[in-house]
Amino acid sequence: MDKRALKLRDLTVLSESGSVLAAVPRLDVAPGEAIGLSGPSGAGKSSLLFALAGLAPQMRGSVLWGDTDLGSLSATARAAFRARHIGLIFQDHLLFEELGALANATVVAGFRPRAVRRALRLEAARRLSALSLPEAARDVSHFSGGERQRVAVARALAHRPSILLADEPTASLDSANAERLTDLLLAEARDAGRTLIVVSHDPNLLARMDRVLTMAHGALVNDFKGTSRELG
Amino acid sequence: MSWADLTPNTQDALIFVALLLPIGVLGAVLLRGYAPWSLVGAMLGRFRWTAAIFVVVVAVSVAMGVGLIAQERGLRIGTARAADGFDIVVTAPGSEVTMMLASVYLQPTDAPLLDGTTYAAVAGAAHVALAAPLAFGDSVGASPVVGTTADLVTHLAKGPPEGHMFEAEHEAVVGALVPLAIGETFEPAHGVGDGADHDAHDVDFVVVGRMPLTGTPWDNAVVVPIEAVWGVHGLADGHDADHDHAHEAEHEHGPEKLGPPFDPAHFPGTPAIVIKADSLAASYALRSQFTRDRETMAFFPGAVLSQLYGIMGDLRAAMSLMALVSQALVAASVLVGLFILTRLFARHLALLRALGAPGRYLMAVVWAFSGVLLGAGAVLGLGGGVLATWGLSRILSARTGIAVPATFGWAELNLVAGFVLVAMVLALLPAVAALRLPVLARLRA
Repeated sequence: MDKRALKLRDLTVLSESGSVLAAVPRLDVAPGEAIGLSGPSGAGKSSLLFALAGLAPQMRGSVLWGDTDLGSLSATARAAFRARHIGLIFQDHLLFEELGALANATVVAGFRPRAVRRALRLEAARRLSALSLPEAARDVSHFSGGERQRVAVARALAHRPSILLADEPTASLDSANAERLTDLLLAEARDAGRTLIVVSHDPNLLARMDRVLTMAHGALVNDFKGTSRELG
Repeated sequence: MSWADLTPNTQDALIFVALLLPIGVLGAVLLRGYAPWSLVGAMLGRFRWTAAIFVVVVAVSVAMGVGLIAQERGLRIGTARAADGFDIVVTAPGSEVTMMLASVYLQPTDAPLLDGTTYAAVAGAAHVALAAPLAFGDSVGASPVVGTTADLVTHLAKGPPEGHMFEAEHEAVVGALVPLAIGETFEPAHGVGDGADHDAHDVDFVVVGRMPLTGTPWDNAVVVPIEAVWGVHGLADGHDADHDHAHEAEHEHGPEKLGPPFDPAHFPGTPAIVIKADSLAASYALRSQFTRDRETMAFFPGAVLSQLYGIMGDLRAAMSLMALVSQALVAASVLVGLFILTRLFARHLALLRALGAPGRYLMAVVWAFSGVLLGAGAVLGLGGGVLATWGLSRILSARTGIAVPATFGWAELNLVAGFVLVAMVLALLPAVAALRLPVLARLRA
């Protein structure tokens, strides 16, 4: 079954202390759809996003990617699922400062089977080149915010995931870099058929999504479809 | 073939391998199929100062352990070698240890003297190949002046000295480390150390020979004819003057009478007589023969040393226990340090988990990181311990004259291997703890 299709059923995301962070009774996302998650701070957007990656501290209900229910998997199996199917992009990039761009983009190679490491490195190098980051060996500590985020994107895409989850990817970028990153993410969704789910406050980015879900107080309060509309 | 049939070296080598093998197995299980080293390198680079301090702490701890073991063994070997040339020592009854320290290690002491009759009895006993009286009490700088016979010098030096043997009363043969050149003259001081009286003897000696390095305190000694020591203290010279004059008259301009036989009537006394027997069995017989109540005491310096080592063995056991306790404390500190280091890169570990890293990979990264630090600390500590032992041995040798060998043995290697094994097993705890990190909380930290 297509791992890009998402179904949430009676999902409740809980904090470590047991308080409810997000609750979604039902949600369906089609394969290759580009989804924006918006809402005020503390609304539960990031908690929901990380629950979709199987990273919530506790959750009840089902997170079904195709026929795989992350809620029923062990932590090890969820990690294995992420390693194969999900590309994650974080707001503050989360790079290894002492490593070069290529080493950062291929950091997952360390735990992937030896047979796929070479292909992974080639793909990461191709991605970096396509993202105008030819200085693959240079420490990322010398990179600008935009360059660092592109390295993070290359890392998320190096293993050719079918799902791309991004948490505030443009938050630390200037408008030009934000625009460029939005183009890139949408290209990945539309050209490569990846399901893209992006948490963002960036109206420009949200405006270009296929669908925007709005959250408040941990609940989905609005679901807009269409690529050109007013948010309200 | 049983364990007892193996040579000590083979046994030690097997223990070494047995100590390191679990680390290899652990590493193979944790790291199999993974390539964590670039990440480990990045973490080391990121926390380089913290890592460096950690390595230094481990290195100092290892160096202290290695140095302690090597130095103790070096001292034992050195003191034993120093006593090699002294088969039996005969003195007046008293403390064997005190008299051994005086005669073998040339430590100053006040001891009752044996008279000429006793010396004659010892020297004339069957199977005595050498019976050399000793006389102490003077010094030149930091070197004690020892009066004895040419035969003992030849025996200790295992041959004739460089230059030539003393042939006149005011000639001296110096030990290899004495800062006096052949041809130089000196005036001995009465006594040793700071309290020595430099104006007590108005006599000049000339250095005519130098002994080769013997690895004993005698390397620091200035050896003169025993007649000279008696003479400068205003005592008889051990020989019948009338007989000697008649003898000299027979050999006009011939050499002075030095060395045995001594005339018991003109023998001023000696605190110790060094004997060499012509066989091992004879040594035991001579020891029995000259161990007499209230008259003489004969002992093997090697046996006295063994008794000392026996007493020191208890001390060694106590020191070993203390060393083990301190190593355990260091291991506990290492464990705490590793937990702290793991906390430092908790966010990166959470990131790896978020990117899909299996738990075993996180453990492998933390464990390999710990392994690099512990390995570096152990190797540096080993090197530091060897250097410290070498330095301490030189200082001890210079101060005591005993050639303390700075050797590096299996005991040190096995100590380090044991420490690394314990530490690497303990390093699993922070590695396991890394699995329990709350991923999301760390990512958002």
